[in-house]
Order: sequence, then C-alpha cells, then structure tokens
Amino acid sequence: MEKVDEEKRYKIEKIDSGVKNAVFYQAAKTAMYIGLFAAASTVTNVLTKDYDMNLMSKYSPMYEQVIGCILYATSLISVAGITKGLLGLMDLCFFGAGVKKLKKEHKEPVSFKELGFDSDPVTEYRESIQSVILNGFSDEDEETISEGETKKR
Amino acid sequence: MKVKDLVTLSDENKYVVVQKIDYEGKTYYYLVDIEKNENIKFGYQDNDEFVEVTDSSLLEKLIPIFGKQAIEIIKEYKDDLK
Repeated sequence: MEKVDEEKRYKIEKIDSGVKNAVFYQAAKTAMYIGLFAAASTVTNVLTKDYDMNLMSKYSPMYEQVIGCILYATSLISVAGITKGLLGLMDLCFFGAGVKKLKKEHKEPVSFKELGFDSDPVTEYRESIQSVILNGFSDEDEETISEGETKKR
Repeated sequence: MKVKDLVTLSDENKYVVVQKIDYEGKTYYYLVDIEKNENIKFGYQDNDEFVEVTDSSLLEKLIPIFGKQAIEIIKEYKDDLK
C-alpha cells in the first residue's frame, strides 16, 4: 500500500462528556468488528505470505465469507457466551441456506424482512468493515449535517 | 479528550471517543461517527486539533490493538443494556 504523507487535521470544535451507554455500545461494536477483521486479515496475510491490497480485494469475497462468519461468531461468543455465539453462527449458516433456497424457488431477490429479520446483519457488518479496511482507510464518505444542529465553540 | 466524550470536529460530524491507547509514546484515539458508524477516525490530539493517522503501516498496528480492547468494553457494557 502507498503511504499517504499528507496529514489530515481537524479542528476540535467542541467536546461534550458522557454519551448514552447505548450510543457508546453501538460505536464500540463497530470498533470491535473492524479491529477483529483487521487482525484476521493480518493473520491471513501471514499465511498467504503475500501482502497486497489488490490481492486482498480480489479474494476478499471468499475471505469475507469465512472470516466474517468466524469473526461474527467470535464476537458473539466473547460478548454473549459460547451458546449464543454458536447459535449466531448457525443463524448465519441457516440464513444463507434459506436465502439460497428461497431465491431458487422465487427466482427473485429475497429481502431479510421477508425472511423475518428486522435488519440485515451480514450486509451491515460487511459494509461497516469493507468501506474502511478494503478501500484503504480513505475518508471519502459523504458527510451530512443534521438539521437544526448549531455549532458551538 | 477521554473515552465516552462526544467530539465535534471541523468536518461538522460528531464522534464518540470509543477508545484510547498508548503506543510508542503517543496516545491514539479511536473515533466513531455517531450517525454513520462506518465513518471512523484514528489519530491523536495536537492541542486543539485532531490529527488523523494516514500511514497504513501504523494503522495496521493500531487497529488490531483497538479491536481487542473493544471486546473488553463491550463485555463491560452489555450488562448495563439488559
């Protein structure tokens, strides 16, 4: 990977203390998934003995399938214990098999909602790590400003 | 800055300070955008500025450390959310 020498500096406009636990927990979960995926990528690179971001990107779908399931289960085990962690992994496997079966029967894309899920955990997880890890940690996401918020110094 | 602070940067986004670690004599922070969790920043504080780390070799070292620490944070907070 190329080094980016230019520093990115942001002025600290304001610091407030004490976010709600739920907000902090959600942010920490994202941090954990990204960190674990990066650690697994490092291990994978050592095994392949050929660290190349283009190579990683090329094989990433395969790596994601395996590493994603392992990390998801690992994170669940770490947080919720072995039983729930394994159940989480089973959910992913059965879900994958269920989607495949339904797609075959209906010949149309099937949404998570149709299968009874409130959200799309696999895509959510992949998107949150992929945009950071596989795109070279770039800061190109669109930024929006919430309406009604004022900036205070 | 300290963990659990809500930091507003000049990009007009608000970030939760999820973690901080000391690595090779410097304190690094892991910031996560509260509205768009995939918008994250790793960096350090330099007076009234947040300097984002862009060196990929350094990031490769920092991110796994942050990830492991995050597991401990989640264990600590999961009980509070039951």
